Amino acid sequence: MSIVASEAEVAAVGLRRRRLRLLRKRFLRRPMAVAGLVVALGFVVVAIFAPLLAPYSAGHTDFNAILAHSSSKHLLGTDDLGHDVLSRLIWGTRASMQVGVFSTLLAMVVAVPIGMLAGFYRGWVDLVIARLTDVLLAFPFLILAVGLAAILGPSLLNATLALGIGAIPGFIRIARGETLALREEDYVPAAVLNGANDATIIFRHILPNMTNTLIVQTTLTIPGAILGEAILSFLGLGVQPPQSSWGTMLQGAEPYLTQAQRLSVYPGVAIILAVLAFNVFGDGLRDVLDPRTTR
Amino acid sequence: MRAEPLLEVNDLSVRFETDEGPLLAVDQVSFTLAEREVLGIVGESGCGKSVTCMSLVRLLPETAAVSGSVVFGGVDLLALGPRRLRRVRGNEISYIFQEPMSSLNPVFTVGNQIGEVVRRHLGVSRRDAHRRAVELLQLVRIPAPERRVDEYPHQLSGGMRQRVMIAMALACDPKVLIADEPTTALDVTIQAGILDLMREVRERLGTAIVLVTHNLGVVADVADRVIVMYAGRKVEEAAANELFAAPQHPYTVGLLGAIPRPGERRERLEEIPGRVPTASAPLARCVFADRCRYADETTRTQVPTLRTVRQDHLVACFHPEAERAA
Amino acid sequence: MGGFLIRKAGAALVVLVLASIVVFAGVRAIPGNPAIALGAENRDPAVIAAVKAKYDLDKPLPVQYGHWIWLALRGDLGVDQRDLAVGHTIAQRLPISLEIALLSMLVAVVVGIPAGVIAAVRRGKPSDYAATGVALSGLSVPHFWLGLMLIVWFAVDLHWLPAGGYTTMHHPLANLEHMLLPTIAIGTGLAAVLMRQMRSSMLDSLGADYVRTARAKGLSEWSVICKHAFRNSLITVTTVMGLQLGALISGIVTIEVIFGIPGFGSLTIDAVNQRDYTLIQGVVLVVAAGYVIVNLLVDVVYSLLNPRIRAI
Repeated sequence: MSIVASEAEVAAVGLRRRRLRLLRKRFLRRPMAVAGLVVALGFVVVAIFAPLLAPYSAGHTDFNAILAHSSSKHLLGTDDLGHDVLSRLIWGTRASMQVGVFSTLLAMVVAVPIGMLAGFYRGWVDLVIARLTDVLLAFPFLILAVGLAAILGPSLLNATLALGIGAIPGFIRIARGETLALREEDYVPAAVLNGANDATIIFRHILPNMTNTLIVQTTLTIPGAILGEAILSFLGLGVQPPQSSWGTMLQGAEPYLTQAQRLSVYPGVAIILAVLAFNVFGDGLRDVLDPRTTR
Repeated sequence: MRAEPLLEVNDLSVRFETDEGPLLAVDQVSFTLAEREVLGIVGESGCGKSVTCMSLVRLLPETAAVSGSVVFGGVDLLALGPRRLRRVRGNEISYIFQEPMSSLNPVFTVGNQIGEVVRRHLGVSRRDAHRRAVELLQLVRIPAPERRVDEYPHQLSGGMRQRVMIAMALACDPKVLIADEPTTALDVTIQAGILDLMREVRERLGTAIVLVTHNLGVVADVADRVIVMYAGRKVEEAAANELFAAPQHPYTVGLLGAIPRPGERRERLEEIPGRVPTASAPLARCVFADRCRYADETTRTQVPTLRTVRQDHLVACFHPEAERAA
Repeated sequence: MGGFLIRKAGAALVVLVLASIVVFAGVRAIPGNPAIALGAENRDPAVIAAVKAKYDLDKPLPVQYGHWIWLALRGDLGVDQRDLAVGHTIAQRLPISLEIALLSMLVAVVVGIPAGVIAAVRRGKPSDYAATGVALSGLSVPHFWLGLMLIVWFAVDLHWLPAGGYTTMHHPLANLEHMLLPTIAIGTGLAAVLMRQMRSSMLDSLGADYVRTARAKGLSEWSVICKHAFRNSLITVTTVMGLQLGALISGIVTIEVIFGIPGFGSLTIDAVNQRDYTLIQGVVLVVAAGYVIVNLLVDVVYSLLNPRIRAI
């Protein structure tokens, strides 16, 4: 009996390794997706190691160099208050990535269990969750941020909360949809016959089978969150100056649009690159994990 | 003795480009179809029968490389330009598929989908097309056709949907109807009705039918002649009665032996061990050798060609039934 | 069709009520005396007393809610810091934002849908890669950054179009001049989303069995693509468009701020900056209600397009 079990396990591990190799092969055939991954990781690295990478601290001002062009002291020049643009960009990467990633994770952690409950139990549980999700949907993230700003005052935390809550309905829908489909798989009644309780079925059997979809959804939600942070901070609803994020940099650059166009270009390009990178990577990942695509 | 064949397929081969390399799905298959004839093509899943039929009207995806010739009305369909090919499809050669639910467009009414074939090929007005659709629904014995014609596919049962597909296929009075596993997705009780309908189609309308199936019972019921396919090749061909009375190829014998017969007393059903092989290039031996009881040196090193063993009975085998001593 | 829509309308009603409760709770969550918040920070005791009476702030919460919602339904959303009726201000500014919204969606549909169809039909070919690439850029460029750049290029550098502001529809040409850059800024992003969704949906439809049947019937490629596949893809795309409402709203708000357009969006930001709680409350309520109603409309359109839903 034990010999048979270990044979099956060995086979399973071998299968998994083979599957991972196949996935890696498929992924490497997509140069765009690989590029996206590299760039996205680059941003994450910059965000994590910002204190080591930024030449100046976030609040450092040089009043002798206001709106200066690039020089050896300030590689990208300075803004209207004498901040080093490169440093602000690097610190801004940290803030923007923080909001982008954490809001998405928050949404996932809250929404996936709820969605799974809705999909698994259906009936009135599903109905109630559906209505609550609808209520959440009725408040687009901008309006949520407005509300939160009114009650708590604008901040990075508020932006994270607003974006996180805004992303919850999306994750609920995905988790619910996947659960609805996966609960019909044969291993579910098999597990029931083996004496598994509801929690075991949901978390040990159904959840692992939806990780692919969840990973793709996460990767594709992050760029929206990054963009959202930029919007919120630009409008004064998120990160507040003097703290630096790409959005606040754009906010500061707006009055100087004609004089110092470059001040809006740098953060804009950063946003575009980050969003593009995550989107392209996420797209490629989705194609790679989809059994229907052939390459 | 035999009139000019309606459809003549010569050395048809289909090769697919896949991730794991080229796949030879159909290997030099040839056959003819006469007027008013019902030709059955049988074989298990994966033997290439559906691919063969789809390649006749070039319905395969672009990854398929088709060679050989399909002569219909004096013209090779495989060499025809797309516009002329489209005039043949649905008009002179019709096709019905296995899954009637997914093969019908869910957002258009049944009448719309039948009518568009008529409008496309016969140029009639919408009114006339609608009337013709009702007529056709009546022909395929759908009750209350005037009501059904404006319904959507999801409002009909599986059997009725298949009848609708047949109605669509017959709309322009085609000479050939290719039916790809028409009853496989249906309940056994509904199957009989569809088969009756197909018999009627042949009787009343004189349409020649190519019937593809893995179910020998269906073939026995309806077909005049039968082709047995295995691993992309034709291995046996004979009139239906002849095939069932005296099967020659060990595979055919195995297939017939595997059918449970009511009233028979047996401990185990005969099964054919092993699985259908897939290959990227033609094998230099008998394709069935790995699973054959009578395999020997010859069958493992040479390719058997089709030859006549009994009257009007072709087999591709080195050791057909008729030649083996008891 | 009836059953489906009745249920959707019922659900929408429930959501409207719940959302209004959330707004109500939100206002009560503002730190400090609600009477001051609702009375636009006016600390005159007489005014505070009047506000208390109007909103029944001494009574239990459900009664307060009842009063508040009853007033709101009749268009009375209170008075803002400058003593103007919130309802009136909103009613004035909403049409401007609606115009931007409609024009942006027009841009998105006219550009995005054909692009998506073409990319799907010519999958894998250069035109597909080009279209997908452009769409990807459109998705990644933040609309407000695009708006800023458009101002710099077209208004400041080239002087072709005005850099902001607004003229009413009484002067249609001037109105369009002012609307052009804003709607392009918002519409581009929407067009990109639409294009990708259309492409993906068309690829699904084109691979479906019924398309194979249509080809087997000898129908022209045009008929196969534009009648059979497209009609099915339209269904998924409608749902996606509905989901883009949130993005549309954020787009309108930022673009109005950048271009200095006196619409509903810039009203929202002004309200936050001035901590005008009455105005904020009115704005949030209107947005939430509008969102639910528009979603209901999307459901109606969806049921018209998808016969399988109608029967339920």
